[in-house]
This record gives sequence, structure tokens and C-alpha cells, in this order.
Amino acid sequence: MAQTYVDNRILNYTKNIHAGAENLDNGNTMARVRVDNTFMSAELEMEVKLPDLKIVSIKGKILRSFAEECKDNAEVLQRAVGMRVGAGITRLVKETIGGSNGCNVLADMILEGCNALIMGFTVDELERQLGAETDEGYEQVLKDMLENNPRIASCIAFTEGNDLRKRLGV
Amino acid sequence: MFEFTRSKSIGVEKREEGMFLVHGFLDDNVYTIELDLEVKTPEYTISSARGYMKRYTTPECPKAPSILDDTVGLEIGGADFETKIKKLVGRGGCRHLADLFIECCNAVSPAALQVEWKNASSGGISKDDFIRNMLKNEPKIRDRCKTYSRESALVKRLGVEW
Repeated sequence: MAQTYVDNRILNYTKNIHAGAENLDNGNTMARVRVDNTFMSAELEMEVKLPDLKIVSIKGKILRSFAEECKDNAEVLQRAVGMRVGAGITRLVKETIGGSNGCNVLADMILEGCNALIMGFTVDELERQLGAETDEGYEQVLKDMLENNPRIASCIAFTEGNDLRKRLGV
Repeated sequence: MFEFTRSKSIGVEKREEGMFLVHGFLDDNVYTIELDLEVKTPEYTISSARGYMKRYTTPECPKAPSILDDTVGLEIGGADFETKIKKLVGRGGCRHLADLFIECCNAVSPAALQVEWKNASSGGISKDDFIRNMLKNEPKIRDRCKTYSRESALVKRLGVEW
């Protein structure tokens, strides 16, 4: 007799990504990324020199993979040394680290690390801004952000003529 | 103290024949975002997309998931898929929601592969034979990366040519 107690909804595929960035004592920043999915597991560490945002060292390892041969591909990471975390990095990493002579998983992990690094620069500023003690203070922060930020049309908050801009008179 | 961490968690279930459900969750110092997608196969088209901004930075951010309605009908994959989503969902809504959206979409194909592998392995097919068949029958896999390139040791060992 068929079991009727629970609906079988076992996941066919799972993926977990963890990326972080932190300051080092030498003034540089370290990004660390870990990926675990149904087919593979990999980790990498990437040191980025400040203020020029250049990748000065990188190491990583594919710990588990569907095809055993993937474990030999971590050497492609060394191609990222010298790259600058800035405009064009996405395309450069996808073409240099990923593609038919590389590893797309490791390429994505580098980009995840770059994103963590860039987001890290914004956290303190956002915390200060969002921590305004009054509504007036918070609205002033938003107004300053919209007036002084060049990211027009980069997301819904920066869309010209949106409700927020109208309300704040920006 | 400069410190940032982001976690993304994706789960895919084959809900019924021809339908995958994808659940995505993003949590970092600044944002918490959830996403549910329904993807129809074998077309790999998005049939439903719902998102929820739980933690964000401006009063406009919670409106971003409304843009997801415009993704219904889109086919996952293709050279410009990520660019299209970054523009549509990212610029039109939220780039972190777009990031999670792309992550969820990229999880459907491996989920379908896992279903195939589970069926094949329970039928006694070896991993080598499975990969050989995959390379023969799925041109998209060929030359996708170093392991599956025509010059790789694996492809040569399996005796596949294209």
C-alpha cells in the first residue's frame, strides 16, 4: 500500500556558496570562497592588494568532483594573479579562468570573492547611513545618496522618477 | 574592521515530470533575499518567479521582485542569458536579486543531470559510460571546460570524438 503520510519532496540538487572578505594585518584584503554542491566541493583564498585592488596571490582546491579529472584543474587559478578587481573583471575571469581551457566553477568562485571584497567596502558606510536615529536623518541620508551617487538606473532605488526620488524631491 | 560575508543556498526539486522547483536564499551583512522559481523542461523556460526582499537598504528595494513577472517565459541558458537577467532584474530591480536569480537558473541543468545520473547508476551504468553518453548526446557539454574539452585526458580515455 502506498505511503500517504508525507509528500516525497527530496531535493535533487543542492548548492551552497559562502564568500567572505576581511582585512589582513599587512593592509591587504583576503577573500575566501567555499562551494559545495551535489556534484562538487571547492575552496579558494585570494589576497588582494589595496588600494590598487590587484590580486597578488590565490590558491584553491577542488575537493570533490563528479569527474575525478576536475581535481587537477586548480592550477588555472594562477592566471588570475595580477588581475585588478574593477571594471571588466567579470569578462576577463570568465574568459581566462573559465571556458574550454579552464574551470567555470573556479571562475565563478573568483567573481564571488571579488563581489565580497567590493561589498565589504560598502558595509561600514551603509551601517552608518542606515543607523540614522531619526526618520529625518534617514531621509537626509537617502537624499544625499541619490543626489551624490552616479549609479543612475543601476537598480530600482536609483531609477529616475521613482517614488523615493519624488518624495525626497531629488 | 572590514568584514563581509555572503551565503547563498539553492535547492532544486523535480516536482513532477517536466517541472523543476528552485528555492534560493541569499543572506549577507546587508541583504536577505528569497526566491522561488518554477522551470518547465525540456524547454527550460521560467513558468513562475516569486521573490521576497526581507532585509534591504532603501524603501524602494521591496518593490524589486515585481520585475520578476517579466522573466516568465524566458528560456534559461544561451550566451546572453546572464546579461539579459542582469539588465532586466538587476537594473530594473535589484542586482543582488538578479545574482540569486542567475544562481537559481544555473542550478536547474545540474538538477536534471542528477536525475539522469541517479536513474542511470541505479540501472547499473558506470560513471565513465554515463559521461561518455553525455558527451555524445549533449553538444552543450563539449568544450564547456578543460575536463570536457576534446584534448582532455578524460575525453581521450573515454574515446569520444567530435
